[in-house]
Amino acid sequence: MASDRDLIADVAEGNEQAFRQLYDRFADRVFRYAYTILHAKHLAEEVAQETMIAVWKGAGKYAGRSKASTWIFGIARNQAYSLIRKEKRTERVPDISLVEPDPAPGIHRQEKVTEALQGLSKDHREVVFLTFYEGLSYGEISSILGIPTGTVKSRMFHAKKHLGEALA
Amino acid sequence: MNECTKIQGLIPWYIEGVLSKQEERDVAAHLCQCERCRDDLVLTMRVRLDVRGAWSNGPSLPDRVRDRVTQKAFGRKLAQVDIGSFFLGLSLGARLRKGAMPVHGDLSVMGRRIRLFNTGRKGGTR
Repeated sequence: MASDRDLIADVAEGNEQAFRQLYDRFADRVFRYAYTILHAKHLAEEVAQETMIAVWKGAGKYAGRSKASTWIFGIARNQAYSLIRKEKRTERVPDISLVEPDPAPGIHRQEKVTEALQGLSKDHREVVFLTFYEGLSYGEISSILGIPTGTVKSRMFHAKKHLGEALA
Repeated sequence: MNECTKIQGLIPWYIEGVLSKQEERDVAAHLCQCERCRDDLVLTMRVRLDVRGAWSNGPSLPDRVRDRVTQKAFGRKLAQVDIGSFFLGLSLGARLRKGAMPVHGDLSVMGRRIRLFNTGRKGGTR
């Protein structure tokens, strides 16, 4: 299986098949990341779309110094924040819940988790997402967010404290 | 900063297995002798499991976005001519993209497509 880097190199040369593979690997993850920031499905969809188009157009600029995921999530974050600026939106009440309604017995727990996540600021939420959902290192998160590693750790520390208390 | 605060600050990434070898050794050694940090490890693992569950069950990207992206990236297919067979073939295609009509040519050998030229990309060919 081709590595993410190889796929990006192929995309830079105009290989549509490589782009489709890259789309399959990243588009949904980008959508979920954007959703943790924007809390609105249609906006997260727009970010995923524009990010993947930016990947197609800008693959030649990827120097390979960072991991492909760091580069792509960095693009997604810029897209999400420019959308926020464009719409002059700040934190907004989510249009839907993080978890779709489900009559399963675990639903009460999931509702509690959703509530706890919504209680975090978006800065804290994205650090938690990039760590626990994407499994990125604090160094990679620091590159994506453009903040010092100490700030990443401190955001995680506070987010974890909040979540630990809310989910106890 | 005391040792416990430092270690607890690294625990999320210790769980993910993305610390440096040295940091990993430091955390593991500390955990062996500190019950408070072991409790923090358990709490963090529980939080991780919960939030991963919530995000996994959250909304996912609709399929329709794929069509929009590929159309915006590659352009709308205008025409394509294929000659040859599975073993050896040539194909010539044109697309319509915002302000341009890129033309591309591919050679296919045993079903594997090799791009000969594409006027829509920088440099034109690959």
